[in-house]
Amino acid sequence: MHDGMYSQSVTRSDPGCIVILLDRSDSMKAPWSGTGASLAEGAALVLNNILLDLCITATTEVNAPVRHYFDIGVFGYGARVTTPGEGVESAFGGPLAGRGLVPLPELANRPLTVREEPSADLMSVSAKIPIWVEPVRGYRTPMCEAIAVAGGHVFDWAGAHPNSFPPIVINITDGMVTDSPYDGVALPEWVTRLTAIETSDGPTLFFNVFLSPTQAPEIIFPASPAGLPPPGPDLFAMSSQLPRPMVENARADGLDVQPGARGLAFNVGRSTLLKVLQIGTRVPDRPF
Amino acid sequence: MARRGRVDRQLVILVITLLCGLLGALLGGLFGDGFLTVSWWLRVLAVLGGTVIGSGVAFFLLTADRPETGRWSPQPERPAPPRPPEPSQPPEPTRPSWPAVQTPPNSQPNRMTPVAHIGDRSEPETYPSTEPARIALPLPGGSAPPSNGTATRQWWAETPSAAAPSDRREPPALRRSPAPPLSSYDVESALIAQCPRCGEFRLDVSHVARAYAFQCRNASCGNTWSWTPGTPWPPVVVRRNLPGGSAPDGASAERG
Repeated sequence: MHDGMYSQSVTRSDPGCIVILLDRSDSMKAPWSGTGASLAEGAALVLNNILLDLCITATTEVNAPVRHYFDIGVFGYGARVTTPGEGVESAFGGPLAGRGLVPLPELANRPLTVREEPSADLMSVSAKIPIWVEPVRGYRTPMCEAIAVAGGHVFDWAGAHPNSFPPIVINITDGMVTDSPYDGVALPEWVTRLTAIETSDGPTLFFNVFLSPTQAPEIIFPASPAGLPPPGPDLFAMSSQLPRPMVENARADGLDVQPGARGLAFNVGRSTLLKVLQIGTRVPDRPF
Repeated sequence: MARRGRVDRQLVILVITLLCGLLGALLGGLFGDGFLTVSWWLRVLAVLGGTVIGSGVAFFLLTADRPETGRWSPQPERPAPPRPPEPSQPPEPTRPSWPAVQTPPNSQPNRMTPVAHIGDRSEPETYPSTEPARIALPLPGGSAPPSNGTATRQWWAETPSAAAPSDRREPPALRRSPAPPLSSYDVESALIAQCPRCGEFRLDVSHVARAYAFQCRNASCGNTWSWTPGTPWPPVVVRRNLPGGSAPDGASAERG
Protein backbone atom coordinates (compact mmCIF):
# COMPACT_ATOMS: atom_id res chain seq x y z
CA MET A 1 0.00 0.00 0.00
CA HIS A 2 2.81 2.40 0.81
CA ASP A 3 5.14 1.48 -2.05
CA GLY A 4 6.74 4.64 -3.26
CA MET A 5 4.84 6.77 -0.76
CA TYR A 6 5.84 8.50 2.43
CA SER A 7 9.44 8.60 1.32
CA GLN A 8 9.88 12.34 1.05
CA SER A 9 12.16 13.96 3.58
CA VAL A 10 11.35 17.24 5.25
CA THR A 11 13.53 20.10 4.09
CA ARG A 12 13.28 23.83 4.26
CA SER A 13 12.04 23.89 0.70
CA ASP A 14 9.55 21.07 1.35
CA PRO A 15 8.59 21.30 5.01
CA GLY A 16 6.21 18.89 6.67
CA CYS A 17 2.93 19.56 8.43
CA ILE A 18 1.88 18.32 11.85
CA VAL A 19 -1.57 19.00 13.24
CA ILE A 20 -2.69 17.96 16.71
CA LEU A 21 -6.37 17.72 17.55
CA LEU A 22 -6.63 17.98 21.32
CA ASP A 23 -9.72 16.89 23.22
CA ARG A 24 -10.82 19.63 25.58
CA SER A 25 -14.01 18.02 26.78
CA ASP A 26 -15.08 18.04 30.40
CA SER A 27 -14.02 14.44 30.92
CA MET A 28 -10.40 15.49 30.50
CA LYS A 29 -10.58 16.68 34.08
CA ALA A 30 -10.29 13.08 35.21
CA PRO A 31 -7.03 12.35 37.01
CA TRP A 32 -4.47 10.50 34.92
CA SER A 33 -3.52 7.46 36.89
CA GLY A 34 -0.06 7.61 38.38
CA THR A 35 0.68 11.19 37.35
CA GLY A 36 -1.03 13.29 39.97
CA ALA A 37 -2.50 15.51 37.29
CA SER A 38 -5.57 15.48 35.08
CA LEU A 39 -5.73 14.14 31.54
CA ALA A 40 -5.90 17.74 30.26
CA GLU A 41 -2.82 18.79 32.19
CA GLY A 42 -0.91 15.69 31.21
CA ALA A 43 -1.79 16.00 27.55
CA ALA A 44 -0.78 19.68 27.49
CA LEU A 45 2.50 18.84 29.19
CA VAL A 46 3.31 16.13 26.66
CA LEU A 47 2.30 18.34 23.79
CA ASN A 48 4.59 21.14 24.91
CA ASN A 49 7.41 18.63 25.21
CA ILE A 50 6.82 17.35 21.70
CA LEU A 51 6.80 20.86 20.30
CA LEU A 52 10.07 21.52 22.09
CA ASP A 53 11.49 18.28 20.67
CA LEU A 54 10.58 19.42 17.17
CA CYS A 55 12.29 22.76 17.72
CA ILE A 56 15.43 21.07 19.03
CA THR A 57 15.53 18.56 16.18
CA ALA A 58 15.27 21.37 13.67
CA THR A 59 18.29 23.13 15.16
CA THR A 60 21.21 21.53 13.40
CA GLU A 61 23.94 23.64 14.96
CA VAL A 62 24.50 25.24 18.32
CA ASN A 63 22.92 28.69 18.54
CA ALA A 64 21.66 28.36 14.98
CA PRO A 65 18.07 29.38 14.28
CA VAL A 66 15.40 26.73 14.15
CA ARG A 67 14.95 25.53 10.60
CA HIS A 68 11.58 25.61 8.92
CA TYR A 69 11.13 21.86 8.77
CA PHE A 70 7.50 21.85 9.84
CA ASP A 71 4.35 23.87 9.99
CA ILE A 72 2.53 23.13 13.21
CA GLY A 73 -1.11 23.41 14.19
CA VAL A 74 -2.82 22.52 17.45
CA PHE A 75 -6.60 22.69 17.57
CA GLY A 76 -8.56 22.16 20.76
CA TYR A 77 -12.11 20.88 20.59
CA GLY A 78 -14.60 21.11 23.40
CA ALA A 79 -14.30 24.15 25.61
CA ARG A 80 -13.27 27.34 23.85
CA VAL A 81 -11.30 30.06 25.50
CA THR A 82 -11.32 32.99 23.10
CA THR A 83 -15.06 32.79 22.49
CA PRO A 84 -16.59 31.07 25.51
CA GLY A 85 -18.67 28.06 24.67
CA GLU A 86 -18.27 24.76 22.92
CA GLY A 87 -16.43 24.49 19.65
CA VAL A 88 -13.04 24.31 18.00
CA GLU A 89 -10.22 26.82 18.10
CA SER A 90 -6.50 27.07 17.86
CA ALA A 91 -5.02 25.90 21.14
CA PHE A 92 -2.04 28.20 20.92
CA GLY A 93 -1.91 30.92 23.49
CA GLY A 94 -0.14 34.21 23.88
CA PRO A 95 1.30 35.78 20.72
CA LEU A 96 0.19 32.81 18.63
CA ALA A 97 -3.39 32.82 19.88
CA GLY A 98 -5.87 32.22 17.10
CA ARG A 99 -3.25 31.10 14.62
CA GLY A 100 -3.79 28.05 12.44
CA LEU A 101 -0.59 26.50 11.08
CA VAL A 102 2.53 28.17 12.40
CA PRO A 103 6.02 27.74 10.93
CA LEU A 104 8.34 26.03 13.36
CA PRO A 105 10.83 28.91 13.63
CA GLU A 106 8.04 31.27 14.58
CA LEU A 107 6.68 28.75 17.06
CA ALA A 108 10.09 28.48 18.66
CA ASN A 109 10.39 32.24 19.04
CA ARG A 110 6.94 32.93 20.39
CA PRO A 111 5.95 30.64 23.23
CA LEU A 112 3.25 31.66 25.64
CA THR A 113 5.68 31.51 28.53
CA VAL A 114 8.60 29.54 29.95
CA ARG A 115 8.18 27.81 33.27
CA GLU A 116 9.21 24.91 35.39
CA GLU A 117 7.30 21.76 34.50
CA PRO A 118 7.50 18.18 35.70
CA SER A 119 9.08 15.64 33.43
CA ALA A 120 6.66 14.29 30.84
CA ASP A 121 8.02 10.77 31.13
CA LEU A 122 7.38 10.63 34.87
CA MET A 123 10.99 11.08 35.87
CA SER A 124 11.47 12.84 39.16
CA VAL A 125 13.26 15.81 37.63
CA SER A 126 11.59 18.97 36.44
CA ALA A 127 12.84 21.48 33.94
CA LYS A 128 12.07 24.86 32.51
CA ILE A 129 10.41 24.46 29.17
CA PRO A 130 8.56 26.80 26.83
CA ILE A 131 4.80 26.54 26.98
CA TRP A 132 2.60 26.91 23.91
CA VAL A 133 -0.55 25.07 24.98
CA GLU A 134 -2.38 25.32 28.28
CA PRO A 135 -4.76 22.71 29.69
CA VAL A 136 -8.40 23.54 29.06
CA ARG A 137 -11.44 21.36 29.55
CA GLY A 138 -15.20 21.69 29.52
CA TYR A 139 -18.31 20.97 27.48
CA ARG A 140 -18.50 17.99 25.15
CA THR A 141 -16.47 16.44 22.32
CA PRO A 142 -17.07 18.01 18.87
CA MET A 143 -14.54 15.81 17.11
CA CYS A 144 -16.18 16.08 13.69
CA GLU A 145 -16.05 19.85 13.81
CA ALA A 146 -12.40 19.63 14.82
CA ILE A 147 -11.64 17.61 11.71
CA ALA A 148 -13.66 20.02 9.58
CA VAL A 149 -11.78 23.04 10.92
CA ALA A 150 -8.34 21.45 10.79
CA GLY A 151 -9.10 20.01 7.37
CA GLY A 152 -9.40 23.45 5.86
CA HIS A 153 -5.92 24.39 7.05
CA VAL A 154 -4.49 21.05 5.91
CA PHE A 155 -6.12 21.44 2.52
CA ASP A 156 -4.57 24.85 1.98
CA TRP A 157 -1.21 23.66 3.22
CA ALA A 158 -1.18 20.66 0.87
CA GLY A 159 -2.01 22.96 -2.01
CA ALA A 160 0.95 25.15 -1.17
CA HIS A 161 3.32 22.20 -0.63
CA PRO A 162 2.40 19.63 -3.26
CA ASN A 163 5.69 17.74 -3.02
CA SER A 164 6.10 17.60 0.74
CA PHE A 165 5.71 14.66 3.05
CA PRO A 166 1.94 14.35 3.58
CA PRO A 167 0.33 16.10 6.53
CA ILE A 168 0.26 14.23 9.83
CA VAL A 169 -2.86 14.73 11.92
CA ILE A 170 -2.87 13.26 15.41
CA ASN A 171 -6.09 13.15 17.40
CA ILE A 172 -5.75 12.93 21.19
CA THR A 173 -9.00 12.05 22.89
CA ASP A 174 -10.40 10.31 25.91
CA GLY A 175 -13.97 9.64 25.01
CA MET A 176 -17.06 9.69 22.93
CA VAL A 177 -17.59 11.95 19.96
CA THR A 178 -20.72 14.00 20.55
CA ASP A 179 -21.26 15.82 17.27
CA SER A 180 -21.59 12.95 14.82
CA PRO A 181 -23.19 13.43 12.39
CA TYR A 182 -21.89 16.97 11.95
CA ASP A 183 -23.20 18.97 9.04
CA GLY A 184 -25.00 15.81 7.96
CA VAL A 185 -21.84 13.74 7.85
CA ALA A 186 -20.72 11.06 10.28
CA LEU A 187 -17.29 10.91 11.84
CA PRO A 188 -15.85 8.16 9.59
CA GLU A 189 -16.68 10.17 6.51
CA TRP A 190 -15.10 13.28 7.99
CA VAL A 191 -11.95 11.25 8.44
CA THR A 192 -12.22 10.05 4.85
CA ARG A 193 -12.45 13.66 3.68
CA LEU A 194 -9.38 14.57 5.69
CA THR A 195 -7.27 11.65 4.50
CA ALA A 196 -8.32 12.32 0.92
CA ILE A 197 -6.09 15.39 1.03
CA GLU A 198 -2.75 14.34 -0.38
CA THR A 199 0.55 15.51 -1.71
CA SER A 200 2.66 13.82 -4.35
CA ASP A 201 4.09 11.66 -1.58
CA GLY A 202 0.79 10.24 -0.37
CA PRO A 203 -2.44 10.90 1.50
CA THR A 204 -2.76 12.68 4.81
CA LEU A 205 -2.02 10.47 7.79
CA PHE A 206 -4.57 10.38 10.58
CA PHE A 207 -3.50 8.86 13.88
CA ASN A 208 -5.45 8.45 17.08
CA VAL A 209 -4.39 8.35 20.68
CA PHE A 210 -6.93 7.26 23.25
CA LEU A 211 -6.26 8.31 26.80
CA SER A 212 -7.62 6.40 29.74
CA PRO A 213 -7.68 7.73 33.29
CA THR A 214 -7.49 4.24 34.71
CA GLN A 215 -4.74 1.70 34.68
CA ALA A 216 -5.34 -0.47 31.65
CA PRO A 217 -3.19 -2.49 29.27
CA GLU A 218 -1.63 -0.25 26.69
CA ILE A 219 -2.08 -1.17 23.04
CA ILE A 220 0.30 0.57 20.68
CA PHE A 221 0.15 0.41 16.89
CA PRO A 222 -2.04 -2.68 16.58
CA ALA A 223 -2.24 -4.51 13.27
CA SER A 224 -5.77 -5.75 13.90
CA PRO A 225 -8.81 -4.49 15.78
CA ALA A 226 -9.31 -7.91 17.32
CA GLY A 227 -9.28 -7.76 21.07
CA LEU A 228 -9.53 -3.99 21.28
CA PRO A 229 -12.08 -2.84 23.83
CA PRO A 230 -14.53 -0.12 22.79
CA PRO A 231 -13.97 2.38 21.27
CA GLY A 232 -10.84 0.71 19.95
CA PRO A 233 -12.32 -0.91 16.83
CA ASP A 234 -13.86 2.38 15.69
CA LEU A 235 -10.61 4.24 16.25
CA PHE A 236 -8.66 1.47 14.50
CA ALA A 237 -10.87 1.78 11.42
CA MET A 238 -10.26 5.52 11.30
CA SER A 239 -6.49 5.36 11.82
CA SER A 240 -4.06 5.38 8.91
CA GLN A 241 -1.60 2.60 8.44
CA LEU A 242 1.83 3.47 9.78
CA PRO A 243 4.19 4.39 6.95
CA ARG A 244 7.52 2.65 6.70
CA PRO A 245 9.69 5.39 8.25
CA MET A 246 7.50 5.43 11.35
CA VAL A 247 7.44 1.64 11.56
CA GLU A 248 11.23 1.74 11.59
CA ASN A 249 11.17 4.47 14.23
CA ALA A 250 8.87 2.42 16.40
CA ARG A 251 10.97 -0.72 16.07
CA ALA A 252 14.08 1.29 16.87
CA ASP A 253 12.35 2.35 20.07
CA GLY A 254 11.76 -1.25 21.00
CA LEU A 255 8.13 -1.58 19.98
CA ASP A 256 6.94 -4.72 18.30
CA VAL A 257 5.21 -3.38 15.20
CA GLN A 258 3.66 -5.88 12.83
CA PRO A 259 2.98 -5.38 9.12
CA GLY A 260 -0.22 -3.46 8.62
CA ALA A 261 0.07 -1.69 11.96
CA ARG A 262 -2.17 1.33 12.33
CA GLY A 263 -1.36 4.67 13.88
CA LEU A 264 -3.42 4.00 16.98
CA ALA A 265 -2.34 4.05 20.61
CA PHE A 266 -4.92 2.89 23.09
CA ASN A 267 -5.15 3.36 26.84
CA VAL A 268 -1.74 5.02 26.90
CA GLY A 269 -0.07 6.51 29.91
CA ARG A 270 1.68 9.84 29.86
CA SER A 271 5.16 8.58 29.09
CA THR A 272 3.79 6.34 26.33
CA LEU A 273 1.89 9.29 24.88
CA LEU A 274 5.17 11.15 24.64
CA LYS A 275 6.84 8.19 22.92
CA VAL A 276 3.95 7.73 20.49
CA LEU A 277 3.97 11.39 19.52
CA GLN A 278 7.72 11.29 19.03
CA ILE A 279 7.37 8.32 16.69
CA GLY A 280 4.45 9.87 14.87
CA THR A 281 6.22 13.16 14.23
CA ARG A 282 9.67 11.88 13.41
CA VAL A 283 10.13 12.20 9.67
CA PRO A 284 13.54 11.95 7.97
CA ASP A 285 14.99 15.36 7.35
CA ARG A 286 17.76 16.61 5.13
CA PRO A 287 20.26 19.33 5.97
CA PHE A 288 19.00 21.75 3.28
CA MET B 1 -39.95 41.57 -26.42
CA ALA B 2 -41.19 42.37 -22.90
CA ARG B 3 -41.20 46.10 -23.72
CA ARG B 4 -43.33 45.58 -26.83
CA GLY B 5 -45.79 43.54 -24.78
CA ARG B 6 -46.08 46.34 -22.25
CA VAL B 7 -46.82 48.91 -24.97
CA ASP B 8 -49.47 46.72 -26.48
CA ARG B 9 -51.08 46.30 -23.13
CA GLN B 10 -51.22 50.01 -22.45
CA LEU B 11 -52.66 50.61 -25.88
CA VAL B 12 -55.40 48.12 -25.23
CA ILE B 13 -56.19 49.76 -21.96
CA LEU B 14 -56.47 53.14 -23.57
CA VAL B 15 -58.70 51.85 -26.31
CA ILE B 16 -60.99 50.16 -23.86
CA THR B 17 -61.21 53.28 -21.77
CA LEU B 18 -62.08 55.33 -24.80
CA LEU B 19 -64.69 52.90 -25.98
CA CYS B 20 -66.31 52.79 -22.60
CA GLY B 21 -66.39 56.53 -22.49
CA LEU B 22 -67.91 56.69 -25.92
CA LEU B 23 -70.45 54.10 -25.00
CA GLY B 24 -71.47 56.17 -22.06
CA ALA B 25 -71.75 59.22 -24.21
CA LEU B 26 -73.80 57.33 -26.77
CA LEU B 27 -76.16 56.10 -24.17
CA GLY B 28 -76.56 59.57 -22.92
CA GLY B 29 -77.20 60.75 -26.42
CA LEU B 30 -79.74 58.09 -27.06
CA PHE B 31 -81.56 59.06 -23.99
CA GLY B 32 -81.43 62.55 -25.10
CA ASP B 33 -82.89 61.67 -28.48
CA GLY B 34 -86.11 60.60 -26.95
CA PHE B 35 -85.70 56.88 -26.99
CA LEU B 36 -86.47 57.36 -23.43
CA THR B 37 -87.68 60.57 -22.00
CA VAL B 38 -85.04 61.36 -19.49
CA SER B 39 -83.98 64.49 -17.89
CA TRP B 40 -80.64 66.11 -18.62
CA TRP B 41 -79.12 64.99 -15.39
CA LEU B 42 -79.79 61.36 -16.33
CA ARG B 43 -77.89 61.97 -19.51
CA VAL B 44 -75.00 63.32 -17.52
CA LEU B 45 -75.19 60.34 -15.22
CA ALA B 46 -75.07 57.97 -18.18
CA VAL B 47 -71.97 59.65 -19.53
CA LEU B 48 -70.35 59.70 -16.14
CA GLY B 49 -71.29 56.08 -15.57
CA GLY B 50 -69.69 55.04 -18.81
CA THR B 51 -66.58 56.93 -17.94
CA VAL B 52 -66.38 55.39 -14.49
CA ILE B 53 -66.83 51.91 -15.87
CA GLY B 54 -64.14 52.50 -18.43
CA SER B 55 -61.80 53.93 -15.86
CA GLY B 56 -62.50 51.01 -13.57
CA VAL B 57 -61.64 48.54 -16.29
CA ALA B 58 -58.50 50.46 -17.07
CA PHE B 59 -57.55 50.62 -13.43
CA PHE B 60 -58.11 46.92 -13.03
CA LEU B 61 -55.95 46.12 -16.00
CA LEU B 62 -53.20 48.45 -14.90
CA THR B 63 -53.05 47.19 -11.34
CA ALA B 64 -53.42 43.48 -11.98
CA ASP B 65 -50.53 41.19 -10.84
CA ARG B 66 -47.88 40.58 -13.45
CA PRO B 67 -46.24 37.32 -12.62
CA GLU B 68 -43.82 37.57 -15.57
CA THR B 69 -42.07 40.71 -14.30
CA GLY B 70 -42.64 40.50 -10.57
CA ARG B 71 -41.43 44.05 -10.07
CA TRP B 72 -44.48 45.24 -8.24
CA SER B 73 -47.28 43.69 -6.40
CA PRO B 74 -50.46 45.39 -5.24
CA GLN B 75 -51.14 42.39 -3.02
CA PRO B 76 -50.46 43.04 0.59
CA GLU B 77 -47.51 41.04 1.86
CA ARG B 78 -48.43 37.95 3.74
CA PRO B 79 -47.06 38.01 7.24
CA ALA B 80 -43.92 35.92 7.57
CA PRO B 81 -44.50 32.60 9.27
CA PRO B 82 -43.27 32.55 12.83
CA ARG B 83 -39.73 31.23 13.19
CA PRO B 84 -39.39 27.95 14.97
CA PRO B 85 -37.88 28.43 18.40
CA GLU B 86 -34.11 28.04 18.60
CA PRO B 87 -33.20 24.74 20.19
CA SER B 88 -31.90 25.32 23.68
CA GLN B 89 -29.44 22.46 23.37
CA PRO B 90 -27.81 20.87 20.41
CA PRO B 91 -29.53 17.66 19.30
CA GLU B 92 -28.33 14.45 20.85
CA PRO B 93 -26.09 12.28 18.71
CA THR B 94 -28.01 9.74 16.70
CA ARG B 95 -25.67 6.89 17.43
CA PRO B 96 -22.64 7.17 19.58
CA SER B 97 -19.54 5.67 18.09
CA TRP B 98 -18.64 4.06 21.35
CA PRO B 99 -20.01 3.75 24.88
CA ALA B 100 -19.85 6.78 27.08
CA VAL B 101 -16.68 7.01 29.06
CA GLN B 102 -17.48 10.45 30.40
CA THR B 103 -20.45 12.08 32.12
CA PRO B 104 -23.75 12.15 30.14
CA PRO B 105 -24.05 14.87 27.53
CA ASN B 106 -26.86 16.74 29.28
CA SER B 107 -25.02 17.12 32.54
CA GLN B 108 -24.04 20.57 33.67
CA PRO B 109 -20.77 21.48 32.04
CA ASN B 110 -18.07 22.40 34.48
CA ARG B 111 -16.08 25.25 33.02
CA MET B 112 -12.56 25.57 34.19
CA THR B 113 -10.99 28.93 33.95
CA PRO B 114 -8.06 28.52 31.64
CA VAL B 115 -4.67 29.40 32.92
CA ALA B 116 -3.36 30.68 29.63
CA HIS B 117 -3.19 34.37 28.96
CA ILE B 118 -4.68 35.08 25.59
CA GLY B 119 -2.81 37.93 24.00
CA ASP B 120 -3.24 39.64 20.69
CA ARG B 121 -4.99 37.48 18.21
CA SER B 122 -3.43 37.70 14.80
CA GLU B 123 -5.14 36.55 11.64
CA PRO B 124 -5.08 32.81 11.08
CA GLU B 125 -2.15 31.76 9.02
CA THR B 126 -3.02 31.29 5.38
CA TYR B 127 -0.78 29.96 2.67
CA PRO B 128 -0.91 31.16 -0.91
CA SER B 129 -1.77 28.21 -3.12
CA THR B 130 0.74 27.63 -5.84
CA GLU B 131 -0.99 24.46 -6.89
CA PRO B 132 -4.27 23.07 -5.66
CA ALA B 133 -4.07 19.93 -3.58
CA ARG B 134 -4.82 16.62 -5.22
CA ILE B 135 -7.79 14.84 -3.76
CA ALA B 136 -8.06 11.18 -4.58
CA LEU B 137 -11.70 10.83 -3.51
CA PRO B 138 -13.86 13.86 -4.40
CA LEU B 139 -16.79 13.87 -2.06
CA PRO B 140 -20.06 15.81 -2.13
CA GLY B 141 -20.05 18.91 0.00
CA GLY B 142 -22.13 19.38 3.15
CA SER B 143 -25.09 21.71 3.49
CA ALA B 144 -23.73 24.10 6.11
CA PRO B 145 -20.25 25.16 7.04
CA PRO B 146 -18.73 24.45 10.45
CA SER B 147 -19.85 26.86 13.11
CA ASN B 148 -16.44 27.88 14.40
CA GLY B 149 -15.91 30.34 11.59
CA THR B 150 -12.39 29.28 10.64
CA ALA B 151 -13.33 26.70 7.99
CA THR B 152 -16.40 28.30 6.46
CA ARG B 153 -15.82 26.89 3.03
CA GLN B 154 -16.40 23.33 1.89
CA TRP B 155 -12.77 22.47 1.28
CA TRP B 156 -13.59 18.78 0.76
CA ALA B 157 -15.62 19.65 -2.33
CA GLU B 158 -13.06 21.96 -3.92
CA THR B 159 -11.66 20.83 -7.23
CA PRO B 160 -8.04 19.79 -7.06
CA SER B 161 -5.62 19.73 -9.97
CA ALA B 162 -6.30 16.69 -12.17
CA ALA B 163 -3.46 14.48 -10.97
CA ALA B 164 -3.81 10.82 -11.92
CA PRO B 165 -2.33 8.23 -9.52
CA SER B 166 0.42 7.56 -12.01
CA ASP B 167 1.51 11.18 -11.67
CA ARG B 168 2.60 10.53 -8.14
CA ARG B 169 6.34 11.05 -7.78
CA GLU B 170 6.48 12.24 -11.36
CA PRO B 171 7.84 15.79 -11.33
CA PRO B 172 5.78 18.21 -13.41
CA ALA B 173 7.51 19.16 -16.62
CA LEU B 174 8.93 22.64 -16.83
CA ARG B 175 8.47 24.76 -19.88
CA ARG B 176 11.63 24.31 -21.85
CA SER B 177 13.21 27.34 -23.34
CA PRO B 178 15.20 26.96 -26.58
CA ALA B 179 18.91 26.34 -26.28
CA PRO B 180 21.07 29.46 -26.56
CA PRO B 181 23.21 29.79 -29.67
CA LEU B 182 26.65 28.22 -29.45
CA SER B 183 28.26 31.57 -30.24
CA SER B 184 27.21 32.70 -26.75
CA TYR B 185 28.97 29.79 -25.10
CA ASP B 186 31.78 30.91 -22.81
CA VAL B 187 33.91 27.99 -21.71
CA GLU B 188 35.46 30.06 -18.91
CA SER B 189 32.12 30.55 -17.20
CA ALA B 190 30.74 27.09 -17.96
CA LEU B 191 29.22 25.32 -15.00
CA ILE B 192 28.47 21.62 -14.79
CA ALA B 193 25.05 21.48 -13.23
CA GLN B 194 24.09 18.66 -10.93
CA CYS B 195 21.07 18.19 -8.74
CA PRO B 196 22.09 19.21 -5.22
CA ARG B 197 19.95 16.51 -3.71
CA CYS B 198 20.93 13.42 -5.70
CA GLY B 199 23.72 14.40 -8.06
CA GLU B 200 21.71 13.80 -11.21
CA PHE B 201 22.98 15.47 -14.38
CA ARG B 202 19.70 15.31 -16.24
CA LEU B 203 18.00 18.56 -15.45
CA ASP B 204 15.26 20.73 -16.87
CA VAL B 205 16.07 24.39 -16.82
CA SER B 206 14.16 27.56 -17.58
CA HIS B 207 15.13 31.16 -17.47
CA VAL B 208 13.26 33.23 -14.91
CA ALA B 209 14.22 36.92 -14.92
CA ARG B 210 17.91 36.94 -13.95
CA ALA B 211 17.83 33.49 -12.43
CA TYR B 212 17.44 29.97 -13.70
CA ALA B 213 14.91 27.47 -12.39
CA PHE B 214 16.05 23.86 -12.37
CA GLN B 215 14.22 20.62 -11.94
CA CYS B 216 15.80 17.22 -11.49
CA ARG B 217 14.62 14.61 -13.98
CA ASN B 218 15.36 11.76 -11.64
CA ALA B 219 11.93 10.27 -11.02
CA SER B 220 12.88 9.47 -7.43
CA CYS B 221 14.04 12.98 -6.74
CA GLY B 222 12.21 15.68 -8.66
CA ASN B 223 14.07 18.35 -6.70
CA THR B 224 13.50 21.95 -7.79
CA TRP B 225 15.73 24.90 -7.09
CA SER B 226 16.80 28.18 -8.55
CA TRP B 227 20.23 29.65 -9.18
CA THR B 228 21.37 33.12 -10.08
CA PRO B 229 24.55 33.58 -12.10
CA GLY B 230 27.32 34.89 -9.93
CA THR B 231 26.17 33.01 -6.86
CA PRO B 232 27.66 29.71 -5.76
CA TRP B 233 26.03 26.52 -6.91
CA PRO B 234 24.27 24.77 -4.00
CA PRO B 235 26.29 21.97 -2.38
CA VAL B 236 25.76 18.67 -4.16
CA VAL B 237 25.24 15.42 -2.33
CA VAL B 238 25.22 12.31 -4.46
CA ARG B 239 22.61 9.82 -3.34
CA ARG B 240 22.36 6.56 -5.14
CA ASN B 241 19.78 4.85 -2.99
CA LEU B 242 16.82 7.17 -3.20
CA PRO B 243 13.68 5.05 -2.69
CA GLY B 244 11.84 4.08 -5.80
CA GLY B 245 14.61 4.89 -8.25
CA SER B 246 17.69 3.42 -9.88
CA ALA B 247 21.19 4.64 -9.31
CA PRO B 248 22.63 7.13 -11.74
CA ASP B 249 25.42 5.60 -13.76
CA GLY B 250 28.82 6.12 -12.25
CA ALA B 251 27.47 7.86 -9.17
CA SER B 252 29.17 7.23 -5.89
CA ALA B 253 27.11 6.28 -2.90
CA GLU B 254 26.91 8.73 -0.05
CA ARG B 255 24.34 8.67 2.67
CA GLY B 256 22.46 11.95 2.92
